[in-house]
Amino acid sequence: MSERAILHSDLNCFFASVERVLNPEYEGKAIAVCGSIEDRHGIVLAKSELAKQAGVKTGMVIWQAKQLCPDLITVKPNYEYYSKFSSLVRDIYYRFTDLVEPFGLDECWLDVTNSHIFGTPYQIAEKIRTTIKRELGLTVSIGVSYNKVFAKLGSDMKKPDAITEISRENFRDKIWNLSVSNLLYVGRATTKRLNERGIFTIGELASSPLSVIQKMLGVNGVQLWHYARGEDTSRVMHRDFVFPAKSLGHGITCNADLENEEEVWRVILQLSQDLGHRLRVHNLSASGVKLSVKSDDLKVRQYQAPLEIQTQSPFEIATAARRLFKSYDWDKKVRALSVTAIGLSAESKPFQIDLFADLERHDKQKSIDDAVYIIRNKFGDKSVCAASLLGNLKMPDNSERNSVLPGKMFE
Amino acid sequence: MQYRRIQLEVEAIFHTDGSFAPKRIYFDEKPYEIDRIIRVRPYCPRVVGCVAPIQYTVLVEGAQKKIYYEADSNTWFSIKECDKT
Repeated sequence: MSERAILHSDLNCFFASVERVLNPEYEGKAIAVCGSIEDRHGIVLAKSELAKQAGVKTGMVIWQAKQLCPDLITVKPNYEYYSKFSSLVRDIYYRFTDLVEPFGLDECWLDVTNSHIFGTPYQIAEKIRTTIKRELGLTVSIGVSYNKVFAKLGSDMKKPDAITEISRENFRDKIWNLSVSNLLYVGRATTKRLNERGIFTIGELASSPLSVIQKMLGVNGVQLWHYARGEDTSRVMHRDFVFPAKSLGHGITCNADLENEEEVWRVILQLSQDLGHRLRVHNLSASGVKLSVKSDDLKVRQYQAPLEIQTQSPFEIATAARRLFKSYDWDKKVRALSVTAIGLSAESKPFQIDLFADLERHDKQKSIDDAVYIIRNKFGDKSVCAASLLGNLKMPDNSERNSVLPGKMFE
Repeated sequence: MQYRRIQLEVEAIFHTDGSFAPKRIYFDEKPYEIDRIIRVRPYCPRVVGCVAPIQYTVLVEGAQKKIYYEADSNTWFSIKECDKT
């Protein structure tokens, strides 16, 4: 069997680059795409190359970014266009292969093992790079390798507008000296644990005994060990593959801090409305609920619990989230909330009922939800709502939403 | 040098296979026949804002001109150089 040829393509400073294409007067300037200060989301979402060189980092508060880069131009996000350009870029990938796996809006893996007619993997990468630049005005960094993990490391190496090839012959020189935190799925906590054991580089991880890594990090550690040694065998999924949603969430940063349980309940109920609708649209039910609470000191606490009965009902999800909130210690006010429906399965799938679950109440609630759904479909979303959702909920109009994007690569 | 995007009124012919080609450009209310299409390619000019336009290099009254079709807005445009103000 011939060696696999995997590309990882990463659009450079994607949001900022799209803004530059739409507004060429930004060329040669430091720009940052930022959330709304009025909605208390005034952080840097993406920055241009010049802004990056000035020290501006994603997640930084706007005033801090402007201190580092006084000439920084801040622009509001245009998610509609980012989606559009992401889709246009993917159309270019499809010219070379059907095996295209997105990893967010700006990254994709491509399996070009069987795309010989377009040239060698490096030549294909070069064609992709120049085509995206010519047709869309965007630049891309591409990693070329024989597995997904190394291909991704490759695309991180040279930015912007570059190609890096990592082969079986050169990966020890190119990869093993890198910090272990560069490896896919190695976050801050895992890095810290590895560092405590004297493992600082990918090479040191690869050279460590498997039993030690397994003892330290369990099943995930075994996977990381294989990744470090270039033994990742995960496939690139076909373009038509749809990742089954494992959870659906809806979160919001409130206009003003929430100060009591009543205010929190109203926000939870509002967030659950959208969740319930999306569960219905996707024909899914949730068997659990997760609640994330960010206090005004920006600390996040998470709570989760199973539901008595699998449900799509916004009210049942909200009620479960409200019960979880009882555990919150009111030493700090609440700045942001997020409700996530977890343990998703098809609505039609039979499930084991809890002996003490109130089925009659659940069925009544379902009838109410069905009626509300029909009314909203006919007369609009705002035609009917719970009375407690009237008035000022301290919520901005354009609420955040967790996209159902693959957070884990296809295995 | 600065550039400006000039929206164009264009008459196009749509073929039975779904493709189309510009036939005539209207500028200052005057029609200009497109004698020939020399080249068609996807090309982003980067000097004006646009989304994945198709560049048509055409012959109009013996002179080569470049016009663009942007599917996103379903409009035609050309690019004009103008002095920096």
